[in-house]
Amino acid sequence: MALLAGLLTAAPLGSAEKLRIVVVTSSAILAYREALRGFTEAMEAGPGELFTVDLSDGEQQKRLPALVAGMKPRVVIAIGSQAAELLAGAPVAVIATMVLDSDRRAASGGNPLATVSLEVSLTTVLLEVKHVVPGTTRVGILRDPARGGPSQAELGAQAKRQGFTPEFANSNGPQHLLDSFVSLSNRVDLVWCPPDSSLFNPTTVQPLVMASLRHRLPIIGFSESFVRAGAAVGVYPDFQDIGAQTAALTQRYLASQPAAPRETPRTVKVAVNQRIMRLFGLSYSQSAVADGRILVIR
Amino acid sequence: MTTRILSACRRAACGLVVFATCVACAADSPQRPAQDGSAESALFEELPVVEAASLHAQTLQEAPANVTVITRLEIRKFGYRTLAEALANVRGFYVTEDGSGYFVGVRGFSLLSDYNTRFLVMINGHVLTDDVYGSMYMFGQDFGLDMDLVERIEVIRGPSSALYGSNGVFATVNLVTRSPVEEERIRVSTESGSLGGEKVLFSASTYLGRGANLLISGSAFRSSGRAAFFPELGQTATGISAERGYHTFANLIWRNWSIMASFNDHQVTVPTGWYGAVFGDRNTRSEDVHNFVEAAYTRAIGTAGHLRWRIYYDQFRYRGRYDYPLEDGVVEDNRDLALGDWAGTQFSYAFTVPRVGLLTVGAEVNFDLRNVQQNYAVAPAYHSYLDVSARDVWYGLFAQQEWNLSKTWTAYLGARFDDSKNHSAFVSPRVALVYRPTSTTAFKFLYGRAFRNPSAYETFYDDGSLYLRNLSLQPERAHTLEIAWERKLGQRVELTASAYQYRVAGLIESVTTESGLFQYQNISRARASGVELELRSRPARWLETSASLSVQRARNQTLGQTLVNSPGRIAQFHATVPLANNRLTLSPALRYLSSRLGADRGRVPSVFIADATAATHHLHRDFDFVFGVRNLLGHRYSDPLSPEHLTRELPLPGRTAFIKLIWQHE
Repeated sequence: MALLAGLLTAAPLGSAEKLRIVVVTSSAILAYREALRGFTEAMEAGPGELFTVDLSDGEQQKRLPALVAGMKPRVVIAIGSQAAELLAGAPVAVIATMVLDSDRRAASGGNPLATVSLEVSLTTVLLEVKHVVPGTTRVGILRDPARGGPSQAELGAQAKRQGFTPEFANSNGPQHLLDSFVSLSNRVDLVWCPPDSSLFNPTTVQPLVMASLRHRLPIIGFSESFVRAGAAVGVYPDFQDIGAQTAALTQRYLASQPAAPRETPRTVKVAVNQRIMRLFGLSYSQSAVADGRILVIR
Repeated sequence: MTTRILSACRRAACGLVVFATCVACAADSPQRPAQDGSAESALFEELPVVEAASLHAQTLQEAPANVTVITRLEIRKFGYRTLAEALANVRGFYVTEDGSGYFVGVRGFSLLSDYNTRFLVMINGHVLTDDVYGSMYMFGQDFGLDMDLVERIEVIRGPSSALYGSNGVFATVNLVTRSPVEEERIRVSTESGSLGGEKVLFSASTYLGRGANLLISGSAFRSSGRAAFFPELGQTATGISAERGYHTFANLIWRNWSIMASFNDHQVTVPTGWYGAVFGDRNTRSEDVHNFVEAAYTRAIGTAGHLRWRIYYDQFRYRGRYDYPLEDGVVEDNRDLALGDWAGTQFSYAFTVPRVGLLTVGAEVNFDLRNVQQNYAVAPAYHSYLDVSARDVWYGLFAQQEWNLSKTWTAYLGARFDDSKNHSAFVSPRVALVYRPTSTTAFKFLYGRAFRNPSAYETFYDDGSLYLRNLSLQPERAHTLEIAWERKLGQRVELTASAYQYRVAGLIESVTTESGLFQYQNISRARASGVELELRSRPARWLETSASLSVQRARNQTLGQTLVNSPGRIAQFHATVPLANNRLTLSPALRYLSSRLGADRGRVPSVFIADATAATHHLHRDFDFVFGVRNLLGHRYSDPLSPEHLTRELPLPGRTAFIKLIWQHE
């Protein structure tokens, strides 16, 4: 609130040409806070002043238009899809970060100008899986094709390039999830579950993990929480580094340097669930654990 | 130029207006977290952790019945050291002791000469009823599984003969053990308490490679017992319930297999004139051994199909010694010996019948390898009074169909056919109707018919001096009708209410014959009805409470009298106060038992007990402790005794305390 008060009484830009950057977070959840921390730390050395707005604070959200109008920031950073959607029509350059569905946003034109996506490609996932759980060669892909993202052909090609034989199981909604998952039984070594909140959420994850154990189908999850819940392995973005990556993208924009409209996470984290791995008889790289490259969840 | 600037300004102004409008609308609508509907919310959501124990251990939680679950956390918070302590704090349950062991009653039923033969107790679905006494009377330290290894205790009220056959009349208790992958790598605990009680426990889990995980545990315990003055005799007995023994348990899980082994021994001194023995004589004692090994295979078939097969061997030994006074001051050293060995196998398969629901079918067969009862005198001279072998073979076939009648109504129809060499056949049907009008409310209408075959002990024990056999004993038969209502009020309150009625025909009781000897007979009919209420709530972040009231009326219809040892009212209250960021919990518990009739029809006064427990959880990385006080107010009270004892009541200890130190390492 003090920040806002200062902003609203700040002198118009025209007088001093100060470089201002407004960072709007969709909420105060830990992931966004980590990204914000990564961004602010990376921007510390650069020019400009940072101002943050948390949309979960109703007062801050209401004053956002006045803030944007009054401060005339060079760029607004939208952390999370809620912030990105809110700022889609804003008369200011927006860089969105910590979002999925970035292809659709980029295609629709206007804001955001650039995006740092949360999507970890199958290529990256399998690259890590090969190191963490060597010897696995068949991967199942459980997804809802109606949700968008890479096509089945693209995913298949990515898997093959990494030396995996892909098998696909499509689930048109959570009601078909278990049937689709079980259909991969005896056909694959691991099942990749890409992030999709309608398919994988607190309601569906428990029966899915039980099915995973009963049918001996280890899951590759998309978050540390999923690994704690019972996925054998998880490959997921490093949120703090996404913040730093966003800062680098912002600095390139401010310097009028060319920047790709969409970036994917440059760093990922890997976690394994030790008890699940033990139940499946899967071994993981101890040297990677010693190096800190794998988080072991007990 | 001016026009273009003006046009740009107009566009900017329009954009600003639109933007402001969007923001205003979003701000006025209820705050939605990023998790609500956004694509990336999946990456940030906290997902519930699945217990690995649920995979291999057979669970009864989905049974369409009135269920109470005692979690590992509750066992720790309330400091339950034995199964008896845990069950004594369950709605509608009460525990009686007679110096040799603990006996559990539910819904007003706990006959004094009974050995808990109308309960089923299981470890991971393995039934523990022995083949000689048909009993499950081991609820104290004689119960072979340490509470430290228990993940949860599932208590299912009502008949379960439709799935498990004989003995599942009033309740079924299933203990689910901790999975080898969940347990800490090494855990050592020591326990010290009043009455000279000491116990040391060691458990460890290890990964053997190739998906094989092993949990092993062992404990040893002893207690010097207590002294009590018996006014009827004007004498004091010492060493009451002095005990010693050991427990061992192992569980190996590997892929679809789970192998369990349990070896236990328990010896207790009973100086209270048991079965006419010399009062105060500490040589009168008993020893119980119940060992078993089991291999179970489970396999998922399709989405909902489930196949389970188990094969097992059980061994039961009972050794009793009684110093009987003879004429001229001579004391006879009399021994009881029961040897039971049986093996069996059980198969069940569950699958979804299209457009109907889950169907479970199964079968089991058991063979007595040995079923021997002996009674003999060692001194002053050897004399054999009894040596009988009564091997049996028994089998059962069962099926249960779940019918999804509509979105809100589900029906369960089940039945089991049992037959054996020594007993007649019996069919146990069960019907349950569950109505869930909302996700927070459930109504259950339950009917079940159950039976209990007379045990080899009740049928064949005949020593010529104390007991007569009865070869014409018939199975007890019970009908139970129950209505239950469960309601969740928000996140913090759960209400449960139930009303029930049961009738037992052909009740087998020990009666005194004309010759003065005891004999088990199908002597009576019992009928009971009651209501139970339970409220669980979390009124504040720092307080969890539960309160229950059970009101029942259990009568012996043959005699037209209230059943002995049947309290008309049971009330309980439990609370937990977490402190220091949940690292320390303080948990008081109150229990009230209204007065009961003793064996001589005299009143045993009501009981009010207050307990308190302090328990830590990761207070230090490797250390924890549990400190408990039982009967905090130091009330003096007694439990009624069966006619096999010299006195009508057993005085129970006043205030006692214990402390348990735990060291665990990953």
